[in-house]
Amino acid sequence: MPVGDALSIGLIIRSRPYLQRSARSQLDVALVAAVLELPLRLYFLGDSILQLQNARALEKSSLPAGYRAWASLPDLTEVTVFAEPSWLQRISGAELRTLLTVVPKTVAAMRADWQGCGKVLVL
Amino acid sequence: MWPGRFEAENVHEIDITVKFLVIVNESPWGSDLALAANRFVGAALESGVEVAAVFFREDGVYNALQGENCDPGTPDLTEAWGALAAQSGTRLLMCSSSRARRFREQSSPAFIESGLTDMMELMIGCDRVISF
Repeated sequence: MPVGDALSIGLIIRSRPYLQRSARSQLDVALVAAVLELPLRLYFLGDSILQLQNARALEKSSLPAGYRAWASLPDLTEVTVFAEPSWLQRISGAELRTLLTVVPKTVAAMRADWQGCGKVLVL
Repeated sequence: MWPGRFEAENVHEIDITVKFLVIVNESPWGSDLALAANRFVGAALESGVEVAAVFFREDGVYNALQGENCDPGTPDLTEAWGALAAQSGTRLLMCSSSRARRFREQSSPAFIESGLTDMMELMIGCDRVISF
């Protein structure tokens, strides 16, 4: 049963950290939507949830710390974050934390949820 | 949901009251998605569908890079997008930060530098968003 609202923006995030040309390109889209005060529903598929993990040694790998800005989204708008239960278990099993509170949801349940969003964008 | 029917095989069955935003994320050579997007927009416009804009982000900004040699038989997508915009008046918007991260060369004048805020506002204003 879809639970989003007509104004909400669903962002489907598919790539793990640093896979793209810019480390923060997906975060930028989320930040723009949040600045416009649109309710956000973030769907992290597979290992893309690693973008939210809070214990990477960014300094040692000389990579930017831009990902930490995910944590600022709730200050800007209403945000709900979903990820696959198996990946959340891996993260907690490695004694890591996520920058945002994440609701476990299977891909099938996410797909049903997308129908409740006003617009959905695959990133 | 859809006000009318949509058949992938026959774009002429799209309801003409629907306004589209098309987002292109891929370069002309990385996959065939940019070509598919170009053909989709052309077919949609031909059948009277309104395409509010085509927004190029990520590697999609390479579609605006003019002067690249194309193999014989392969379409020059920069020219193809420009011709499409000239015929229809559809705006070709290019993410300025994606471009700044990728190339400094002169882009085709058919493409207008824009930003993610414009993309988001267009998303809100359009009936459907199609991402390639």
